[in-house]
Amino acid sequence: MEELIEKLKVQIIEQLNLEDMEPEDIDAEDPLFGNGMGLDSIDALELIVLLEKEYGIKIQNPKDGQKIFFSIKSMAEFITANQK
Amino acid sequence: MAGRIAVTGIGIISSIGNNVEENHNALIRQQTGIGKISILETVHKDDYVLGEIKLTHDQLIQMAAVDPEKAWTRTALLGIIAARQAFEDAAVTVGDLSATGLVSASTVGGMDRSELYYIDFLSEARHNKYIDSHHAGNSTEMIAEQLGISEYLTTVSTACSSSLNSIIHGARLLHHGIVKQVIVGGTDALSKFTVNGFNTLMILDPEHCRPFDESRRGLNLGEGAAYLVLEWEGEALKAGKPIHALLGGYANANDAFHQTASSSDGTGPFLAMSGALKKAGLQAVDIDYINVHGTGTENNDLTEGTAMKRLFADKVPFFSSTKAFTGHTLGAAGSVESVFSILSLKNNTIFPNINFKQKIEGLGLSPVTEVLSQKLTHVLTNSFGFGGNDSSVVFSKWEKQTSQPARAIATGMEASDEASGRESEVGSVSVFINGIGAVSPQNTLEPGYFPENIEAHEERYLQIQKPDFKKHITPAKLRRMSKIVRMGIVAAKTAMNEAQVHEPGAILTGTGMGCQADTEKFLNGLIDSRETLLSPSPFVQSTHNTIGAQIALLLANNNHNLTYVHRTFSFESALLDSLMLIRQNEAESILLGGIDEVTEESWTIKTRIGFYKKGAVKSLQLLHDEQTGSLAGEGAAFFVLSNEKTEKTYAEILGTKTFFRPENQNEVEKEIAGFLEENHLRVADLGLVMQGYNGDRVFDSIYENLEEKLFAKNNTAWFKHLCGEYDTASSFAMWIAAGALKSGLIPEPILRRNFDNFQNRPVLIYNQFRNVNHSLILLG
Repeated sequence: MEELIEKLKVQIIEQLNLEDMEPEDIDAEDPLFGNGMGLDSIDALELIVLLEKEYGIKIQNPKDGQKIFFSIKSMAEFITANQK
Repeated sequence: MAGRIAVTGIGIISSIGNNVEENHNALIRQQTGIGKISILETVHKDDYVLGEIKLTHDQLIQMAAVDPEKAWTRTALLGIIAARQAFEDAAVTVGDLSATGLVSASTVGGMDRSELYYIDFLSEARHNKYIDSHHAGNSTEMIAEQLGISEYLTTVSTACSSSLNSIIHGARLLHHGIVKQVIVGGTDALSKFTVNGFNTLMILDPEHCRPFDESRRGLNLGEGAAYLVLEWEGEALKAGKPIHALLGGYANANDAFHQTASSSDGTGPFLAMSGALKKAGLQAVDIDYINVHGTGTENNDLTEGTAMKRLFADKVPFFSSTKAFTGHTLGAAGSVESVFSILSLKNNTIFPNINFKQKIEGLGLSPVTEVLSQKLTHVLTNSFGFGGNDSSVVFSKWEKQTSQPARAIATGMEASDEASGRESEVGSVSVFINGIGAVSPQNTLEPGYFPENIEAHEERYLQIQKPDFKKHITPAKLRRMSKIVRMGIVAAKTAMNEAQVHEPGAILTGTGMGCQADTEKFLNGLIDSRETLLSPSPFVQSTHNTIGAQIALLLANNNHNLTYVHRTFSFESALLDSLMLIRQNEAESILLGGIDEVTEESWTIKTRIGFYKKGAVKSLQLLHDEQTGSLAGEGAAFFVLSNEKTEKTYAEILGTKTFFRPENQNEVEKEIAGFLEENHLRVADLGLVMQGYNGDRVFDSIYENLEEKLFAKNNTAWFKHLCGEYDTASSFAMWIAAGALKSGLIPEPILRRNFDNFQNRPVLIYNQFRNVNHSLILLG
């Protein structure tokens, strides 16, 4: 899980073009949206692309993203549970 | 001149019919045009349904009866078919043409061909003819040529509100006496680019869309074109023309909430609808029916419904979305639904919102779901687009005016314009440049206006001196912005800081090619990945109004926000619109800008058709370079315009004019002389003439001839050795000219011929693109 979390941090920084951020700046339990990292609806769609591209997991309903992308930790848990 | 604007012609092609009658019949019979994909070649053939026009490219060429050898895009073909219907319906005569304009709208322009041939564009010659039909203004020019229009033409691109904005611009042209009649509307063909773009946003419904229904899941894309002919009621009656309807009022506002999502309180839509009512001199209760934007996305319908409740309270009029018939035709949607609104008015019929079953929870609004006969006097139509760009237009029933004009139709605000031609308005309100900002291949951001040291470039194309963007834009916002957006924002902020204006009454931008880097990124991704795993960000940012929208977002500015995208007319159209808005007292201050970027790919492609020089060019010796073509460049120049002269004032803008495909050099001279005369000036009165020499000898000869004859006794200058050639380079020239007029000095590096003392006399900027698009800007 720890390894996956670290990998996700790097992938998210790249996918969302968070130029000024380093993996260590992100707390795995911080909310990604709203008052946390301040991501928005387009970022959520970018994360859906990331899940499919890197982990082969397809999300059909963007609404499902709200829970999955709550934090990096919740993302990692979702990937672990759904990756084939 | 009569005081009411009449619609005297309408034309349309959509997935429910190839003309007005077929469209009307389908609406009455409740026959949708949305179905299985059979024309567009896409891997999503079985994933989605579309509102396709079931005619192939060749069939459309036949229907349009045009020369098949020309570089027709599907967008242009749909455009010419619909525009010609409107043109014929209004019985436009050859005699009228000298005072007829064309304002068209498109979002993706010639993308339907570009996405097929893009790989060839980069290396093979076989589809080269389509390279120059990609830009959004191309379809407008093809239509203009077919119809014989050259007096005024331009193209608007503000995503899905585009064609309502072309109606708005057209109305202003009439009010300002620029044209006597104007064809307005828009055209957009389906493309893989848009299907995949909306797919990345996950707002495409795989089933038939269900606008305003609780179960709605997204939109269905469609394609189409629709045009209206607008002219003064009095003129139309004099010519014995039947009148379809009156254009009552209109407004454009910006939601300033998010690049793609709309606000939960419906600010933008509310301002657009209420603004249109105000302009029409109507109260909310006067509206009998709304043809809503109603895309069927969760976000749009909720926001639009909320805004309707805000405006109409518990008396929301009859409303319906017709998008379940046609699909969302993007840049054409506003004019398609304007034609439907006019049909509703004429026939006292409301077309149904098909596929509706259940009200949206919490909203409690039910659209009309059956064909409904209802007396209609005033109809409102909405179109909302990316970048929070929201527009509304009111059409009113035309009835012969009796001695007592109906209160409801009297356009109070425009009463003073009624009898006026251009004469009475020019001179009544002056327009001043009170702040300037430029990001360019020179160090133009440094304090003190003109850089002390000129950068001598030796490259294949000129690129901007990159400012420290982080000083101007926060990292969170910066990360999604491509270069063109960044440089636009920095130039805009510089101009606003200088003028100390932070709430401009309108934000008007011009860009010939728009966000090229984002467009290329999405297009390449689409081709490489065979339409899978695409990122939404470049698609969202690829719309032409992104720069204006991002500025509105940063400023939280809800005002008028338009983007013009017609090659080297782009900046001039935005400038003309600024002059009209200020002179008609619709805005006191305006943020105006011209922006274009060069990319390696766009440079490569256009170099292959001879536009640009192939090798490195010594920029300062540009005119001695032996290679064919011009030197490509880029830049952003912004201005704060105001109706007040202050101590910061740089210059007054006296006027601008564009002209299209002049027959010969004599006509160029005649146009220039005529423009000066309109402004009560002679050539001898000019303190400086700045011309757009770009190193392309074929076309530079036009400037040379003028310099030898018409301007033989003027100070003359050039500027593209400093910024390179790009569609909105005249904005950089205006930046230089403004500074020259303020300082009283012509910067040495631009001077070609020093004939006499400058003495702050007027400056004329003349620019042309390959002898097609010619433009003039006059500062004093």
